[in-house]
This record gives sequence, structure tokens and C-alpha cells, in this order.
Amino acid sequence: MKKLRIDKKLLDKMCDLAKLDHDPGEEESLLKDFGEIMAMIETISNVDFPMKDERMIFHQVINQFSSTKKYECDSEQIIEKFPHKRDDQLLSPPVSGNNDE
Amino acid sequence: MMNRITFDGIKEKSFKSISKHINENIKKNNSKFNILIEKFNYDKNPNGGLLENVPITIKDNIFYKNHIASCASNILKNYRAPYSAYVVEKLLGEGAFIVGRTNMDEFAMGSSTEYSIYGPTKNPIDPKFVAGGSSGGAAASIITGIASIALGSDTGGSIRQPAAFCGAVGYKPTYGVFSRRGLVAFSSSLDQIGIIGNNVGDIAKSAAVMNGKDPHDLSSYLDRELKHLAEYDFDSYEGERKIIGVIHDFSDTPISKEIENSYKKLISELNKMNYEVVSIFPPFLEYSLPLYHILANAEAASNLSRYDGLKYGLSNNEGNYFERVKKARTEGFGREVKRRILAGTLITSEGYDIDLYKKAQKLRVLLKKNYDVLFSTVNFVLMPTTPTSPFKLGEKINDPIAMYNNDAFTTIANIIGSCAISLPLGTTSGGLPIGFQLMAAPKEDAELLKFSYKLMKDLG
Repeated sequence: MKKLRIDKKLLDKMCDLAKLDHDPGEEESLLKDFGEIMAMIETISNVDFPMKDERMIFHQVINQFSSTKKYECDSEQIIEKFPHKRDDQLLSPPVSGNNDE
Repeated sequence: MMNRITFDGIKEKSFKSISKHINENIKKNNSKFNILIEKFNYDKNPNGGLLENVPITIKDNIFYKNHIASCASNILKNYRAPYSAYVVEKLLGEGAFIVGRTNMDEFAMGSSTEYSIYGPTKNPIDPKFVAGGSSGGAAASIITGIASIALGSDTGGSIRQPAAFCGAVGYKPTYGVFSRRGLVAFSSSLDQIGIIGNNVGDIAKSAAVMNGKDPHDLSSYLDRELKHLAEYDFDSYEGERKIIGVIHDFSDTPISKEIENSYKKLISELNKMNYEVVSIFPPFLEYSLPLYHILANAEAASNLSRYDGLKYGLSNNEGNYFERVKKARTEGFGREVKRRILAGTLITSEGYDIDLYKKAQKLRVLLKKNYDVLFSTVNFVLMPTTPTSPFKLGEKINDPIAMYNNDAFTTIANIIGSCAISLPLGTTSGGLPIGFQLMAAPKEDAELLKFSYKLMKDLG
């Protein structure tokens, strides 16, 4: 896991985003506190539980026309495999067998 | 000093005598311990009802129409509530009256009430020590006989920890039992209004009044079991045999020997009284604090972004829009609030390790599932409320991590949205109060309160 170095540059950037200023005299202690808080927070990266690939979680779809068929793929593959398309546009599924669409 | 006001016989007393008693206690204690930020001009509530003549105090982040609700912050110093909180309306509707607003840590961020623009609330048992926080003023108002019931808020233990430090009972309900309408938001998915009182019975009766489905807070719900407690005879409670899960191994928790020994003594007492006690390992307890701070800080940074010096409170006319906003926020927020906003801003910033926030959200779900399994095996989890006894004023004010460690056992109930109560567990060798916490599954509030009443009665 990538960790950011808590330094003056980062502190100034965060202050800017949070619309806050800090007293230059307090900078050192603020940096120290901020660093300690972030170090404590980042200990949850030690928790050992499976982190599935995000794409697998968010793009896992079930084919509505065949409940046994499950796609596990990324968004591009979903578009590619989408059952009803016209000119690269995805179409909503037909509501009856007579629907040409 | 300790002539507290309970519900016993309060309806039969005259309002004049109650009011005189409160005024004497305020005079005797308020300047000494810094409990009330403001005493209201109260009168007898013409609404009779279940809580007739009951004096209550409200934390400075709960709305009472046309009264100041400053969150102990410069940025809202003169802000007047435009409406009353749902729970305040409910209490007033049943005959209670409001004595005043109590001191707190700024925006409820703290565990000692030292991060307040009004100065710290001191522990009524020994003023060299903190009263706990963030609802320190609320807990102290109960112990000093200023109110029977004190409303506070609990985002990570802010009701239970000060209750334990002052020797009171502190109840944090299941998320949604009390509407959050009229509570200033700190971390919306963790915040709950809670009650500090002298005993479980008083708290249960008040909770029954305060519960309800509020159309303005869709997370609120009607709890029929809890409603029944308004007229419930607690002495009649037998209950089936309940199983209490207890911790035997504290190796991953920063707990003091004194607290650990008191807790183990309590367990052996329960064994002697034939309570069913089983040993458990509360899942992910050691990660609850960092998890809590990721969620709470991220939500706080977002919730507190509304304080721009234009719509609310502190404002100025210097420079362009950005300069005005920055100046108002810089002058308006205190040091701890700024620290948390900065941490929350970093956690939710593009470029920061995004997995951390996602991981925290997933861990929250995992934790919830684990506790669901745990609560299918045990009825209650018993833990110390705090890892240490009350500490000295100023001892931890410059050490945020040491301050956060106070919440080591309390944040878990907020993360999973369950109910918990802190009950008094005697005193330390130095005479300072300590407490223990009972936690139950979400929506088991009525059972938790009934069982707590029985337990306190059995423990004498």
C-alpha cells in the first residue's frame, strides 16, 4: 500500500483543500500530530482479509435471460457481451418474444 | 454536593422546591466545575405527562428553539437554533423542563471536554481530574444534582466515557432509536443522541418517551419494546437466562492494570451470582479505533465544510470569497477540530491511498457480520467502558493518540450501530469512578435496559 509522507508541502495542500490556515509557529507540532494520527489510522492496512478486485465486485452481472450464466468481466467485456446492441449502443432487453428490439 | 435528583417521587414535589434545589446546586457547583455554559430562564412546563417536573440539561450541540447551540466552538458561538430537536420536543411534550446547555468538546471531538472554547469541565468527584468527554458537562450535571436526565451525543463513546468517569449511567441507543434531527452533525453514520442519568430506570423511561419515527430522519424507527418501558415495572423482570460474553485476554488493548483487575473482579462476582458467563474474543477490537477515525474524520471533513462564515456563525468582510471563508474557518475552529478535518480531507483526497477508505468500509461490513454471529451466541458483551480511570486535566491534551485511546472499547458499538450502556463499577483506590459497559445486538435496547436494571440491583 502506498503511503504519503506527511510533510509541510502535504500539510499546506490539505489546509488549502480544507480551507484552513495554520499558524507558522504551530506548524511543527501540527505536522507531528498529523503524522501520528495518519500512522494510527493506517494500521488498518494490517488487517488480513481478502480484498477482491474492485472490477470483479462492481461488474459482476447475471444474464437476465439465462440465470445460470454469470459474467465475471470488466466493463469493456460486458459491453462486448451485451445481448442486445445496435450500432454499438446497448439496448434494453425485449419485453416479449415479438419485440424486434 | 451529591444530592442528586432522581425520578422517585418527583411528580409529587412542587416545582418551586425542585427549582430551588437546582439553583442551589448550580450556585454551589457550576463555577467550580464548569458544567453549564448557559442556564436558561425556565419555568414549570404546563404539559403534564410521564416526565412532569423532570429537569433535563442538553448538550451544546442539540437544538432548543431560539436558544444558542454553539457546539463549544467559536464558529457557532452566537448561533441560535431555528427549531427544537425531535427528542427535545418529545421530552417537553411529556412535562420535562430544560435547565440549560452543558459544556462539551468542540463539535463533540474529544474525550475530556478540554477542547471547549469555554474551558474544561472538571470532574465533580475530584476537580484535578477530567470529567471525560465529549459530553463531560452532561455527566457532571447529573452528579451535581443540576438535572435528572442529561442529553448528550455519542459518536464513539461520548456518552459512555464521561458517564463512567463521573459515576453515572450512560446509554447509547441503537442507531435510529432517537431521531438525529436537531443534533449538529459530526459523523452522520456514527452519531447518536444518548442519555446520561442516575439510574437505568430513569433512563429507560426517558428513552421510551424520546423514541419515535421522525419523518425528518429516515434512519429513525419506532421501537415498540422500548415504548413499553415507559410504564414497565423493572422489579418484575425475571428474563430467561442470558449469556454474557466477557474478554479474558487484553494483550492487544492498552488497558490499565487497575481497570483490568476491577473488570475481572466483576466477572467473578457474576459467576458467584450464577450468571451465565462465557469467554469471547470480540472480533477486530484492536482495529476498531483506526477504523473509527477513518470513517469519523472523513465524514467530519465533509459535514463541517458547511461552516464557511457565510451561512452560519462567525463571519468577516475581509478579502475575496476564498479569503473570507479561510479566515472564518481558521479563527472559528479549534486545534483538535482542525486536526480531524485535515485527516479527513487527506483520507478522501484524490491521490491518497484510496484503498484505505474502501478497506475501512469493507471492514465495517465484515465487523458487522462478525458481531451478528457473536450476538447469535451471546446476549450481551461485557467490557470495561474505558481502558483507564479518569486522568488529570492537561495530561493528554497535547497527545491526540493517548486521548483517542480512551475510546478503545466504545467505538465498536457506533461502528456496528448497536446499543450499549455504561454502568458504574465502584471507584479506584484514589476514589475516582470507573465503569463497565454492556453491549447488545442492534434493536435489543429494551432487553439491554431491563437486564442492566437487574444486574445493577443484583450487584447492589
